Amino acid sequence: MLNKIFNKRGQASESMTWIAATLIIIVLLGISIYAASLLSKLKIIDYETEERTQDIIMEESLFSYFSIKDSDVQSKIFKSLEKMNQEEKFYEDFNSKFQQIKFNLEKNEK
Amino acid sequence: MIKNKKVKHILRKGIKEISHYVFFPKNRIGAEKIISVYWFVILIIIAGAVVAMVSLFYGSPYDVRVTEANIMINQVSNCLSQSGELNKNLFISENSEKKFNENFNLLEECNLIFETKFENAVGEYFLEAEFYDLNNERLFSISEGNSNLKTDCKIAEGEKKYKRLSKCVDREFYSLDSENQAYKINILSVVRKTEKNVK
Amino acid sequence: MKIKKRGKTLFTSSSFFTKSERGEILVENVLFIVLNIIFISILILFLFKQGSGAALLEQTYSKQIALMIDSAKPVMEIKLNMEKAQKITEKNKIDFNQVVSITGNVVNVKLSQKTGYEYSFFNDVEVKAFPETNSQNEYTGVYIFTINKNGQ
Repeated sequence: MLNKIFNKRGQASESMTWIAATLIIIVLLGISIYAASLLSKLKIIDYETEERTQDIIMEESLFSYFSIKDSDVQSKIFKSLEKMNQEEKFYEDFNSKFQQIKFNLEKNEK
Repeated sequence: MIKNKKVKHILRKGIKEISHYVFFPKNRIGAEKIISVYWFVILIIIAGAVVAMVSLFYGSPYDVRVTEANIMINQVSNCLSQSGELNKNLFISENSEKKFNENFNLLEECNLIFETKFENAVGEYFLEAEFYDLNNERLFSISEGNSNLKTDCKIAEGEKKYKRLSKCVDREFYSLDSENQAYKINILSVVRKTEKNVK
Repeated sequence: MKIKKRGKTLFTSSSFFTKSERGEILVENVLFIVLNIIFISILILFLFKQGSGAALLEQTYSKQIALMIDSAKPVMEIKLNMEKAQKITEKNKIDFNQVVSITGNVVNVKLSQKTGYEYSFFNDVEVKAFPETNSQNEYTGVYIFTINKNGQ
């Protein structure tokens, strides 16, 4: 019974709880700080991932493709452009632009 | 009357301890004071962490160099080639032979200005246009700006990413001359500007 | 009737004079909670103030304007909505006319007396920037940029 009065285990367990809580808080804050540093890297404005409505470089290539009279040269350039499209070097949809320019040229010819 | 010596000893010890307990009662006030100080320490740690997060996020500037390099390439491509035909000033006829114009000034022809009034600005841009035939043979090249920035592009290709390197963008397209001969043009644009874009 | 020792704990005064089980709201606990709420609200206010701060807006506007001028060609007129900047200049008592200034090929955006952010552009054009006004000569929050060939 006297042991129960002078039992200090309750006091010790309270401080242990606080130490554990402090460690958890520090770990969570560390994760938040790391997350904030990762988010700061989103501040790199990437030209490619933004939605683009026009790719001037690709259109120049397409205009020159349609202006070429030599069919061998034309097919060579088209293969190269398709390869560039597969390597995702264009910022706009290559096939739809190709079809659009082709349609407009045929329309003008008529 | 308690005769057992052992029991007597235990009882005497107990009475001493009980009386000590009665006159010096243990309470939780001391523990609560320590806890409140601890609570303030926790609050200070949290406030410090929030300030650190804010300074980490808002302290780093927006990096627009890739966008700037791409815009430069668009402007230069527009100046070198229009609707699939190369700029006529790129060529000169020498002895009835068509040659590339060595005196073609990219900055003047394309209305570019690379100098700024900033004190520490030591060549913030580099621009290079290379002309190839369809067999990938290099025919001609023109460049302007700080050529030392070109080495940053090779370092940037490696596995490790260095924040304070210049940003390089290179793109290629096809164009024709007046005789319908096709060329592949590769434009490399390098933007340094680390003071304004990197922390 | 002899009450057994075991049963004694059941039949105490608390059995007959039941104490009210309502707890008292301690002033200390209330104060503690209020102080915590004040602390958290100060932190949140600090966060929001940083987000819409003049320094960040100056940077974003100056870079946006510089890239816009880089993409432009003579002769062009571009209108940019700068209402957020207008609100801050009203607080900092700066004339909206003084927010954007272009010297040579450098854009300077200033939203308070002491601060300012500069960014250069590479397009060799002549740029003039001025705020738009309505019929009552009040600023609409829009800035107009006119781009002409250099020397014109």
